[in-house]
Amino acid sequence: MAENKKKSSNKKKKNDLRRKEALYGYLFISPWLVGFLGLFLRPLITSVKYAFSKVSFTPAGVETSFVGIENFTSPFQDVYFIPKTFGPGVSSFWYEASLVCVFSLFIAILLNQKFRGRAAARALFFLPVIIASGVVIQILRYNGLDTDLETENSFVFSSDGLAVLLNSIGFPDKIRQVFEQISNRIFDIVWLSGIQIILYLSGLQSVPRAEYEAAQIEGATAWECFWKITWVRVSPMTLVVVIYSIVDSFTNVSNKMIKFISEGTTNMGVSCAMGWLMCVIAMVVLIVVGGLISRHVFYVNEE
Amino acid sequence: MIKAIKNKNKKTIKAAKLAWSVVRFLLFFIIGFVIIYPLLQILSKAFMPVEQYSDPSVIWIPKSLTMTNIKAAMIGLDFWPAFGRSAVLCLSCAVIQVVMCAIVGYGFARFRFKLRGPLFAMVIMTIVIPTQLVFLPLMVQYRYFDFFGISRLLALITGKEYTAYTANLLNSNLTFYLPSFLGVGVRSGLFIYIYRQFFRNMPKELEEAAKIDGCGPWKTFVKVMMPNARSSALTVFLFSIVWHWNETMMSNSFFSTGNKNLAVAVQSLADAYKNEALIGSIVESGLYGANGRNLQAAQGMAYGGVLLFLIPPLVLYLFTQRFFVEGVESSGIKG
Repeated sequence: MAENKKKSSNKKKKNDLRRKEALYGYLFISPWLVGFLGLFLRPLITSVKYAFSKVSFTPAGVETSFVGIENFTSPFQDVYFIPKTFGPGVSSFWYEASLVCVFSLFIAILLNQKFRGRAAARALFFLPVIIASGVVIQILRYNGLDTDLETENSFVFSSDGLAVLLNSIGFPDKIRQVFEQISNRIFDIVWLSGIQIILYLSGLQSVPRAEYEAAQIEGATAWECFWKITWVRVSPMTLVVVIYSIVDSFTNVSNKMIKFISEGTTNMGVSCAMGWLMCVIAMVVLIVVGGLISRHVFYVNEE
Repeated sequence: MIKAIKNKNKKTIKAAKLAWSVVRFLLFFIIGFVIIYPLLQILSKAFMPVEQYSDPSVIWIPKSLTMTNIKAAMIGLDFWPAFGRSAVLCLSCAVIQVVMCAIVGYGFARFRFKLRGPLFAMVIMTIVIPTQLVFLPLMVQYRYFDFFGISRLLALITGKEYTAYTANLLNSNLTFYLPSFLGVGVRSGLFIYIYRQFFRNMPKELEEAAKIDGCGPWKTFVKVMMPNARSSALTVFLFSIVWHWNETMMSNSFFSTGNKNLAVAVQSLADAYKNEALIGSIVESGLYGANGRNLQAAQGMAYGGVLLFLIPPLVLYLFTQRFFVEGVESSGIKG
């Protein structure tokens, strides 16, 4: 009898402790909760409303009137919208993410080897994260001035020399164009890869040395070691890198659609509508790509 | 016989290693050049007299050096006031974020409560959703700021129009301080994530010891956990400074013309050739002599401006690069 009482009071005590812990938890996150509800969720819901409305400013505040899906369709009336803005905006992710992924893994493997000046090399590759703001890129891309709209596609780094070289060797035009595309974008790829290189580097450092040694004793080549050990071991990081790169590509200021949303239109309703369109497309892409990759991700069972 | 083969093997391995390190050096050199290239370009054009921009015999190294572009950019940017505004905003926001994100991160890392999972998913959502989506309504909200509904409540009680009780936050630094304080500022979600990862990996015994010594959760956080989180705090501080320094989208719309910070001012230099007032002040300064109205003068000024803009973060990075790299490394390991 007495024992039973003791048990129940213990249980009560435990429950009290739990409740107290939860209370402190909510207290600690309460600033964020207020900010999230007031400064993030509320504008987010308002932007849904704006996306379906005509928005106008009056001295008494903002007035909205429902217009249906007009904001979603009106930009597409422009013949140039799909090929020049929408198309590149929603499709640039696939080559950006894949090139960045391959490039950053390659560089991370090189940086993971022991050599003199490794710290300096690491610092160098992270440099773009510090200075790669839209401002600097803009000034560089337009050679100082934003004079000509036709220079939209100009590259900071052009490779006319390479084109001439490949031509003189006798490469077919198509292959040459592919090379040109990649080399022209090398600047963008290198400048987009800063964080991803570091992510891969930290993934590589957690691969146990013993596995390589065992493989070497068995007579595996470096190529086999890469595919059978490195690639498998860093696959969780590949998922992170790919998702990070896709998000980056969709939200980067150099994305044509983002540019259109923030500068290209004065109509607030259209801006919000296009923002939501981009967001939905990005989510679908993330779910599909994330689902495909996570099937092949190998996790080490950790206790 | 066997020895000879072994020796030969050793030699070839050594040669292969040497060849590989040469190849690796070349690769790093080329890619490093791609990274450094724009900096060199800015450096060269900023100190090059604008007459030499179109001179085909000048490629990288100017024939003579000049401070004209820098001086013009100082005028065009209204440099010192803009620099001051940017510095104050960056440092204040960084300090606020270091403290507030730590508190929130600790809450998510160490306390069990029902909604922890879903709420943390919302933190991640604030990173993934583009700011462009919330930013327009947010601007409207700051224009007629109703103190999270208190104004509407007052309006209900007194029967007046609610706009009578709203404040206009636009054009004040509060548009950045407030979200930073409430953990939804520039990349706050990422900082909360960094802190949470750190606190999660701290040994439980630390808190238990503090509890036995009679510390409550808050005191434990301030006295025991925070001093241990110095490296994470430094990472957050540095990233916060850099990202606030580079931020243009929100500051461009939240601050009016006379109140621009440095990043926005530099951005507007790219349009300098269209800005009559700016051209006027450059011509008046006489820096470019008769060429003041030329496109090249505006170009030179833009390069000078970018250089001025880049110097502070570059200096910061030079002394603290270790913490940037280590911060990303330690936060990204276990997702």
